[in-house]
Amino acid sequence: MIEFKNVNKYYGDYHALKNINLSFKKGEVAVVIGPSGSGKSTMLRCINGLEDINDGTLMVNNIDLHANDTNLNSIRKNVGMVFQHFNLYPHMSVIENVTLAPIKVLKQDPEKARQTAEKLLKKVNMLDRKDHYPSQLSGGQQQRVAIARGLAMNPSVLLFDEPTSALDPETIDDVLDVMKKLAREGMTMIVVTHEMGFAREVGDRIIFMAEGQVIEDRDAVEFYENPHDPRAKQFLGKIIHHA
Amino acid sequence: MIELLSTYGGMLLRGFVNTLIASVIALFFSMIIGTLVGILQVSKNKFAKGLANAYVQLFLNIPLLVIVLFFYVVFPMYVANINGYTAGIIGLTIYTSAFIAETVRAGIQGVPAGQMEAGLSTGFTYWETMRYIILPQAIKIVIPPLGNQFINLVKNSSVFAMVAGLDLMYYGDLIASETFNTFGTYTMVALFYLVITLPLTHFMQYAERRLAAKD
Ligand SMILES: Nc1ncnc2c1ncn2[C@@H]1O[C@H](COP(=O)(O)OP(=O)(O)OP(=O)(O)O)[C@@H](O)[C@H]1O
Ligand SMILES: [Mg+2]
Repeated sequence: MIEFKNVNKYYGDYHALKNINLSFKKGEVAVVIGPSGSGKSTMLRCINGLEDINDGTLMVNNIDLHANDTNLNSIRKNVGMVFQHFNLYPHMSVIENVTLAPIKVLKQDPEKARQTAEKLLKKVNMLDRKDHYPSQLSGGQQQRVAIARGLAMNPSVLLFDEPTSALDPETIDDVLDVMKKLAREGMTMIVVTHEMGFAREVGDRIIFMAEGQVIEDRDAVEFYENPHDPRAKQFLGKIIHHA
Repeated sequence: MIELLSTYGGMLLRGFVNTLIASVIALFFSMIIGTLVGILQVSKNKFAKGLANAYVQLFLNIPLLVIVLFFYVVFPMYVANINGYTAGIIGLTIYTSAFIAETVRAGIQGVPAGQMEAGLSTGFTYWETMRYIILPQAIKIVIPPLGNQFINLVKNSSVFAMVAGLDLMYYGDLIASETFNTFGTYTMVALFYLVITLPLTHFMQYAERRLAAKD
């Protein structure tokens, strides 16, 4: 459903993505790892058109993202994104955060949108906080609301960019539990994270990136137990040491 | 002072009412123009952005009096005859709109970039994201400096006096030169300005508190 073919991306002169070839299937959970600056976020942001690619082709749900006549908004309706810093709307309550796009973008009936939102908030264990404002919630709680907000559009894939790296250690597991639940329900997920526990438990594959390239792309457990590339070995050693 | 009021009270009141009306009109239109120009200043369209920036840079850096004189003296020679009052309102509106545009631009840029990304990634267009997500947050940032612009607008309207603008300052000058009671006259004029600016200050502070109370 998502396919990168020889994709290159530049920021000015800087070559951020080098000849990327990747494909993601429906129902798959892919974990993306790699050192800082390796292009993980850039790759992810290309999928929902937050960044434009310079050459190659990138197909999402059979639509060519780079084509001139492509309406990015129609793609983004089907591609949810969860950010490192949650990016909840601070001037809206939890329930308003979740229902805004379904009501305004999908033109759902507000009552129906509210019911769906409550179901999703229940799923992420945030229903009891539905009338709170983001500033009244912990980071982990905000991130779970952000996941519900992404799910409310009923996307075909959910992208996560380091969803737990801005969180206090004690709230990380609540977020990971929600993500594991989604993975087991068959949600298609592409997750940039260094949480190796998550990767091994529900990840179908691990994509290791370095210097704008995909270095390894293999089964999660296999990769974990036997990384081939020396950079991957070294990197894995580092993050496991930290955990 | 009492004597001054009994003889010239009507004049001062007329000036006060004219200043008030001019301020309201200029405030209304400079808000509309300033908000639009401020939004265009952050738009992705290079042409619109360039035009908006040029407008702001031009009127931010010319004295108000020059703009007003332009409309009072030059404009009638080529376009249409307008009186000092109208020339004053037009000049004040344009001048203030440049400051409001700057304030609005800074307010929009004060909203974290992640908010635009979050809006876009849930399928909103750029303009929808502006409307539902960015501008409601920018308002809170903008209210305090905007209040200052409003106060400045009222005070700046005193340049009308230089173009026979029939405002509070104009009548003040007139009365002062007739009576030679400069102290009394200008004290009265100052008090009349305070009648407009003090409630305005309090209203803006109230609006600030109201908006801050949410979230
Ligand atoms: N908007 C931008 N303009 C210019 N350079 C950018 C921009 N965004 C990212 N880069 C550069 O592109 C490279 C890849 O960045 P990217 O954010 O994709 O890395 P990352 O793998 O997500 O790193 P991290 O683990 O630190 O999040 C970095 O060198 C970064 O400095
Ligand atoms: Mg990143």
